[in-house]
Order: sequence, then structure tokens, then C-alpha cells
Amino acid sequence: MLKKLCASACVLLLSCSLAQAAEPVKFGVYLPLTGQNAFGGQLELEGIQMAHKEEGRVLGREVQLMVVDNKSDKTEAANAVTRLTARDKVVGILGTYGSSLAMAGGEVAETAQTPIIATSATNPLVTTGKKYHFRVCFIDPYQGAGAAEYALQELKATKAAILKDVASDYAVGLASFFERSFTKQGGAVVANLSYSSGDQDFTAQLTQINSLNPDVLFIPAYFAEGGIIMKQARELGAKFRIMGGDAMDNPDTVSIAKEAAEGFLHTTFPYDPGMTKMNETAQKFTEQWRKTYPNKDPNVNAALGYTTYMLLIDAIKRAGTADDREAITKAIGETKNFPAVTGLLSINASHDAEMPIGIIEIRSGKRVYLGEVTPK
Amino acid sequence: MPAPQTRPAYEAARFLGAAGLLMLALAGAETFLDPYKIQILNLIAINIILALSLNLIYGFTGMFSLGHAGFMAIGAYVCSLCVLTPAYKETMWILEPIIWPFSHMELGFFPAVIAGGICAALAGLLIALPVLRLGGDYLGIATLGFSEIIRVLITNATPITNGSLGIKGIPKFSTLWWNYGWLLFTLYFVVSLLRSNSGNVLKAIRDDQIAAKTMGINTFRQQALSFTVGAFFAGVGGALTACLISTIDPKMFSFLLTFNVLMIAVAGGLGSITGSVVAGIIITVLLEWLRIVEEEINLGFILIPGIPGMRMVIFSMALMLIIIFRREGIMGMRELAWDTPLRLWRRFAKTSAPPPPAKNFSIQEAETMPRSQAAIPGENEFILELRKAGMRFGGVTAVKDLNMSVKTGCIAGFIGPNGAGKTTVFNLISGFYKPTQGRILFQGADITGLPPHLVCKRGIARTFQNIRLFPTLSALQNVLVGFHVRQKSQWWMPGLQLPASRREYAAMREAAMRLLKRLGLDDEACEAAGSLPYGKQRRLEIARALATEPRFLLLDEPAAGMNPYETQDLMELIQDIRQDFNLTILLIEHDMKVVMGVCSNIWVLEYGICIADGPPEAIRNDPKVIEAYLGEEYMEYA
Repeated sequence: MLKKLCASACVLLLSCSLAQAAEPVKFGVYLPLTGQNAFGGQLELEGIQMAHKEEGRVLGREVQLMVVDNKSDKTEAANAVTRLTARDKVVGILGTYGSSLAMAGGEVAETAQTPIIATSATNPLVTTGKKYHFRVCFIDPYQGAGAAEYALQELKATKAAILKDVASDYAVGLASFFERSFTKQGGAVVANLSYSSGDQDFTAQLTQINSLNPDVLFIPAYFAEGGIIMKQARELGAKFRIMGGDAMDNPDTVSIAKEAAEGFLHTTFPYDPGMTKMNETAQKFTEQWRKTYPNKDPNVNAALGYTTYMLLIDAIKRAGTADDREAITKAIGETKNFPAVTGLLSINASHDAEMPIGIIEIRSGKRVYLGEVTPK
Repeated sequence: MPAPQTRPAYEAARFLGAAGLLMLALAGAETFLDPYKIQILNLIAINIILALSLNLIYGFTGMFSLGHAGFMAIGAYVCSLCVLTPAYKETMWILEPIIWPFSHMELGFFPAVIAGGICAALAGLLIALPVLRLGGDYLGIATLGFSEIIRVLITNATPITNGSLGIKGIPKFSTLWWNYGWLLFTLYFVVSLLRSNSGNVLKAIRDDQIAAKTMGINTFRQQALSFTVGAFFAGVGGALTACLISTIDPKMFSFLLTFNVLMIAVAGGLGSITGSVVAGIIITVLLEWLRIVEEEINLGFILIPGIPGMRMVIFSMALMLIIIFRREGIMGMRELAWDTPLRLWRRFAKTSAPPPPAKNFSIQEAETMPRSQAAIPGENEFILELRKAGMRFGGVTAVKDLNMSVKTGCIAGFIGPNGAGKTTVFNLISGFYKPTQGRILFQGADITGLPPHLVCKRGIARTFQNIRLFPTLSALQNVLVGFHVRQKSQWWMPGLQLPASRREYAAMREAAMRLLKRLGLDDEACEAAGSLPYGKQRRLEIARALATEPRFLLLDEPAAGMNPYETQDLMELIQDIRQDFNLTILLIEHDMKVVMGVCSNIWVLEYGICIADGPPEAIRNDPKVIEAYLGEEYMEYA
């Protein structure tokens, strides 16, 4: 019986592989599907998978996704990209969430001369000096400048304080760029304090900040610590506004901070399911998402994952080949006004995406998309 | 049967042959394998180096250390700072500019790795000095704390380390050749070290620290050395990792990294070099190979979606099975040797080589080892003098105002009821306790408060009431540990296989064999000490004590648990070795036949106070002694 089953399974497998004889185009996907960054990685994967379902073929050939988990670990990220380039010989790679992972993976893709499009790795170092590395998100200096500009122009803030996670490359980078822009445009940073990932008690830093009476507190944190910071700041009677970066763009921000999240502002990529003026691609994406994952709200990470896939498909179409990695790399670099979920997307000389910065405010526990800023 | 002797030339040829084969294999791998497989091969080499370095610290020296990630971080950062060009460093430190001299130093890959290793070793030494006084779990916690401190320091020292941004774009210097070259060197050094007497000494410390101290081993120094060498190779492993994956940041070096290394060492077998090698290969390959369970599996009729994280579940289960069914790890403490297949074949064919002819050495011939303490009999009338020595533990006075003078060359006895303080006096003499009052003179020199290993060096050896051998070491190795105190080779010499140290070790082995033969233990030379019968363990303990070339021997209840025949043999043995080795012996014994039979002078202790002393006849008839210890029955019996 068992033998028969095995035999029939073999036959089936064989016939399947024969049916797919017209060689599929292989896309590599490496994301943190487990480990500390899993929440972002999972969403981005779902975005990519949805895009794959929508456009499963390119130049008449089927697209095959090779998904590899990088466990939120650098060595694993390097291994994953080596596996994708050397073993699976993928034509292009999508991912990853997390700049430090992207740096480890990007180095491998560079030697393997395979184009790689990062989803949400915002550290400027990710693409500097790289020929094959691109991304569909903006970078931290740009985001920091955007947050600073919003604080100065819209909130009319003149005194800012910063509380950053010194162990997070993302937080340190963003904080430093915010400070530079804010002071350059005439504001004053009255305090620049630190904590370490995993800390639970921020009252010491917050008391000091409170005494300096700033107009705005910038926290380039992840939602876990960010939520607690907001809570403790309000408990200490803080009157200042609090601003954060795109890492705070998570439903858990509100569920941790509760009422303390009221009035919290954060920068993000210019997409939100609740935004009023949604472009055509975003509308399509949102509809599609609600159909595919009826129990989950679409989110910007998913949108970025979706965008990387669509961008690679577009580049292959423009290059007219699904095999020549050089041509595809060139095509990605030449992307101009590609209709993406986040607006018309162009890749600039430093391989980053140019797009406006979205601003979100929490009002009555809901995320409200206020609009966009484009820092100079 | 004596331990198999291997000729150094043959051994070197074998090592070179194996290295040559490995080089061929590497050349083959470089030409025929894809970068993915090469990457895995590289990781295998680095993981084995790391596991070996931890095994040296934990498996062989018995120090539970969780600081490996810290040493790796130091190695990785130092190496990265050295290999990057100044211009590149200028552009990368975007938060705060890099400070001099780090901004301007630039080294080649090889010196950079060495520098990484040395800095890690220095950090290892620095942490070893205060922390090694702790033992067991406390040491684990302290080293874990250390590695976290290193990580926090790196995170905050932005002008040097670029803080949490880390360093990227490190040139990928770690090729197969470098990684396996370093692996070979690590293996060569660690194997050579462990096969020499230094290895015996480290394992002795692991088995029984107190016994090791009485063998004249400066356990602290040896542990610190082992820790430092382990840290060096951990630093090298970190440096190679940095140049393999080309980017590092402080988060990489969290305690999880330590546990990865620990996992390989434990799964392979603590105390087994081949275990670390085998587990390094299996675990590295398995982690990558198991990715198939995370992929979609298409069976044609059914599509099993891939579940991320599945491979860690399966991997963890495999580890749990290892721990449940083979707690000692894949290899335990055993080693795979070059000639294991050959030996198996021999056993199969039953053509074991005939044992080498036994040579009849007299014990005088055995004295080839230099005597550092060539005492001239009669130089001092009294070899050991206690002057008003006393020991108080809090409110309890264990020994009080003890005056005793032991004549050179005699056999003296020490009797008294249980708890009278006899063993405390032994501990005072051998340096385990520092007397709270009085002084102890040995051969005219004051040895009050000297640590045990220095007391041993002066020429005092002892045995223990409850035998303290090094149970996992063979009888021969136990004796070799005893020779350590008179050894001339430095600890690092065997690691580099210097001829002088090799010759010395060969001579020591011969002398040790003769000593075992003298005590009738030559048939058990290769057996684990812990598995010997009781009487032989007692004798081995004496042999081990004799190996330190003492002038003065302390025997703590040598006849305990022996039957009358064994006791008779023991009495003869004690008298013989006193004669042959020109010793003075002080023994504690409850068996009056032994005490009265061999001792020329006896001290009687009760409640820490000496109540009588003199020749056996006087003691036998002393009413105070009869009342306190011997009892009326003894008198009748006698």
C-alpha cells in the first residue's frame, strides 16, 4: 500500500515537473520570518505573495518565489542570500526588513551580481557604494528631516528633546538626522538622552526631559518601547507633543500606550488604508488585500513588499529579458514614475526611492493620515 | 600494558599528510562547489574553532564560561578596525567621526586576525584574574555579565566602533584557505597542548581542584592560562566571522551567540576534541539543510505550505534527543584517533601486538627526574616543626597551641578520636588552611600560610582520607600530573611541539611507568583511575604523591577500608618507600596495628590539644591516652 502511494507520488511529482518545463523565472525573497523582526517580515512576505498571485507571469513565463527565512540574524541573512544566488540562481532578490540584515545580505548579492530590492531598510549605508542594491523606501536622513520640518512648521516647535534606543542602528541614525535638520532650521535640541532595547522604565530620562519643557519629544523607537515611553511621559504629566518614526507604524502602538497615544504623531511611508486621497494603485492594493486577507488591515510594510515585487516585474518587462541580471539591474536603476502604492516611484542616483513622507496622528485610538511633507 | 608511545616523526608525517589531504580537498571545493556550499564550509571551520576554544575552557578545564560572545566581539571589532582603509572609515562613521589612532591604522588580514585574537586574550586575562576565584555557576553568570558589558561598551563607544550602526563593507578576506588554515592551527595547538602534561594538568583541575593543588599545581594560574588561550581562539573566530559576513554590529554578539557555540560543544561532548569537530560539521550543515522543511513541499496531489521557523523546531528536537539519550554528547569524552579504524580491525582480527617486554627497573633507576629539593639528611634534625600552631573556625577551636617536631627520616603517627583535629593539622601543614596562630617550619624555613601548590614545591606531599584521584584520568596520567611540579617546560611549549618539551614528556612518562611498577600498578597504567579497585586507588594516590618528589609525606588514613592482608602489605610499603625515597612520613591512622607497627613517634590529639607524645610503648601505656582514645578494651586486647 505504502509502496503504491510512494510510486504514485513519484509519478505525480515527475509529471508536475514536466508540466513546468518552460523554465520559471525565480525571484528570491529573504525576510525575517522568525526572530525579533518577524512582525515586519511576515507582513512584507504577505504583500509579496499577494503581488505574486496578482501577476504570476512575466514575459510569458511563470514566476517562482523562493522564500528564505533569515531569522533576524546577520549570519543567516548572508547565508540566505548566498543560497538564493548560488543554489537557486534567482534573477533578482526581494527584501529585507531591517538595515543590518540588508547590509549582510547586500554584500553577498553584490559579489554574486544579482539585483536586490530592499523593502524597508532605511539606513543610508545599505545602498551606498552598491551597484546592485536598491530600495523602495526613503532613507533615515530624509525621514529625520521630514519629522524635523513638520515639527518646526506645523507644530511651531522651537525646543525639541530626543530619547533614543542607543542599541538600535535605526534609532541612532534617525535621531542624529532629526537633530541635524532641526538645529539647522533654527530649532534647539535641549536634550538627547538614551536607553537600551528592552528597557521598561524611562521615568528618569522623562523627568529630566519634562524639566526642560520642550515643545516636542522625538522618539525614533520601535512600538514596544515607544508605547511605554508615551505612557510614562503622560503619567509624569508631560505637556509636550511626541513624535516618532515609521517603526511606530504598528497597531500595537495604540494597544500598548492606550489613551497616552492620543495626539502622537509619526512619520511613515505615504500609504495608509485610511488616507483620503488614495492613488489608483493604492486603491487596487487595498481592495485586493481586503479580499485576500479579510481579517487583517493592510499596512505599509505589506505595501512595500508588494511594491518590490511589482517593481522587479516592471524592470524585467522594460529590460525585455528575465535572464540577463545586468540588464535588469540597469532597468531597476532607470525606474521613473512607476505607479506604486506609495505614489509615483523613482529610483534616484543613490538607489533610494524618492517619495513624500506621510504623517499620521493618533486620534481617539485611530490612526489618521494627516497628509504629506516633502523635506527640502 | 603501558600506554602506546607514538614516535614524533611518525606523528608529524601523519599530521602533514592529513593537512595535505585537506588542502587537496579545499582546492577541489574551491573549483567545483558553488558559493553557497563554500559559505557553509567556511562556517563549519569557524564554528569548530569556536567550539574548540570553548571546549578547552569548559570541557577540559571545567570552567563554566558564558563569555564567548564577548571575546568574539572583541576579535571581530579589532580585526575590522585594522583591515578597513582609513578613507573608508572616514565615510562610514556618519554619527561621530572616528578618533585617532583607529582612523589611521591599517593592517593586513593575517596580522589583523592575530591582533583580534591577542586583544580578546588580554580581555580574557583581565576578566580571569578577578572572576576565576568564583567557581561553577557563579563563574558562568560572571562571564555572561562580562560579555554583556563588552556589548554595551561597543554600543556606546561610537567614535571607535560606530555604535549600534555597526561596521559594514569589511573586505571578505575569510576564504576557505584562511579559515581552514586557522582551523588546522587551532586543532594542532589544542591537540598538542592537551596531549602533553599541560593537558593532564588541565583535566586534573577539572576533575578535582583540591587534589590538583596538593599536586603542586597553581590551579589559578593554569585556569587563567586555559581561559586566555580559549579567549584568543574565540577572538580569532570572531575576526574570521567578521571578514566572512562582511558586516558586524553589537547586536550580533548577544548571549544567543554564546549559546550557539555552547550547543556545539555540548552536543559534541564536553572534553572531546573530535566531538567538537563532528558536532561543528553536523550542526552547521543541519541548520542549513533543514531549510527544506520551511519550503513549500509539492507532493503533486497536496501542497504543504512552508512554515517559517519549522527548522528551528526540528533542530531543537534533535538537540533534545541528543541530551536525553546521550547526555554526554555525541562523543562523550572519547576521541576518534587516526588509528581508530586500524584498532577496530586489529580487534576484529585478534592480532593485537604482543606487549613490550617488561623491564626490571629498580626504584633508584627511576630517579631520573632532577631533584630540586636535594635534602641532606641530618642537615636539620627536625624536618617539620609546628610552634604553637592553632586554628579557629569562628568560635570553634579545632587545634590549639600544637607544638610538634618531626625528626628527619622517621615515620611518625597521629592518632586521636574522630573530630580531634588531626585532618585540620594536615590541612595546616599542606597549606589549605592558614593557621590563626603559631608558625610552621619545614626544613628550617617558615612555610606558614604558603598556598598548597608552593608547599608541595617545597617538598611536602599528601594523600586524602577520602581518596581524591583524578577519576577520568588514567593511572599513568594521575602520576604524570604529580610530575608537573618539577617539570621544566613552559605551558605553551607543548602547543608548538618544541623538541625539548617533547623529550621531557617522554622521560616523564618513563619515570611515571617505573613509579607505577614500583607500586605494583603497571598493569593498570591505562585504566581510568576512577574505575580501579579501592586498594589500588589508595596505592595510586601514594604513587601520585611520590611523583611530586616529596621529602615529607602526609598519609591520611592510608589503611582505611583495607582487609588485614592489604593492611600488612601497606605497612611494608610504607616502610619501603620511606627507605627508597629517603622520606619522612607522618600518618593519621585509626588502625593501631599500623600505627604501633611502623611509627617511631606518635602524637595523640584530643579536642585540638596534644595530650601525649612519644614512642609507641609510652603511648600504649599512657593512662590519659587510654581514657581518651584507646579504651580499656584495647589494653586487654593488646
